[in-house]
Amino acid sequence: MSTDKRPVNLNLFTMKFPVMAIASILHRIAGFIIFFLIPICLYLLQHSLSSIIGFSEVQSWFQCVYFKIIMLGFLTALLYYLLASIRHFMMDFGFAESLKGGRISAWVTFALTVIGVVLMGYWLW
Amino acid sequence: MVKSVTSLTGNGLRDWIIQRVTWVIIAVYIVFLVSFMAVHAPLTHDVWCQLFRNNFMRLGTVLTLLAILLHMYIIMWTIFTDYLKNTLVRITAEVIVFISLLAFVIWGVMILWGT
Repeated sequence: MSTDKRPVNLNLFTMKFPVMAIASILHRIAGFIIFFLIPICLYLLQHSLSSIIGFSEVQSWFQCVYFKIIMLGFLTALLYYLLASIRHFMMDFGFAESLKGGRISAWVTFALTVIGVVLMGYWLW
Repeated sequence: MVKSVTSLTGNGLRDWIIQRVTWVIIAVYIVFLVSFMAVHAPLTHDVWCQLFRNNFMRLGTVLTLLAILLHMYIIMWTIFTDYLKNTLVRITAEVIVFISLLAFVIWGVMILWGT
């Protein structure tokens, strides 16, 4: 069989991804985003501990809508990262390793993240 | 066997176990901090400062920052290994990430014991 007859289609956007693939790439993206959350958290901690004025300033930032949206975005990434990691640990122990199991656990991870984001949004607002 | 020089420990299995153990440390810390805020809501400056003056909390915070250093480096190494094909670019990115993470740990110590 000649190899040059094989279809070449490397445009990823023309492919339909299984839910597990989406869960996997989101896990990576979330992990990458969290890196930038670390200095933000450290700065917030430093400022909130510095003085009572600093503390109330941090509190006032959390009243700002744009700040809330950014923080909710970061917290979503963090929550998704932590939950998708649990999914990996389950597979380390041999659970949900089948095609069907992987698909279900991916959807469960998404569902739990959505519930968590709604709760965090409620907490921030 | 060729050892990977840029991965955290140069050993996939060791990286794997470190990634899992550090995840637990970070998760416990986050759950504790969120629970503390929920129990003490609305949070005051006094309660907040008192928490971070506690030596166990300081120990836990530094431990968590060290766990973040190790865990985050594994995350970034995995991503860079897959997407940054140019060796010079990849190693530069890895060094920047490592130095940043180290700086985060030192910054955390400075916050806890500093001014």
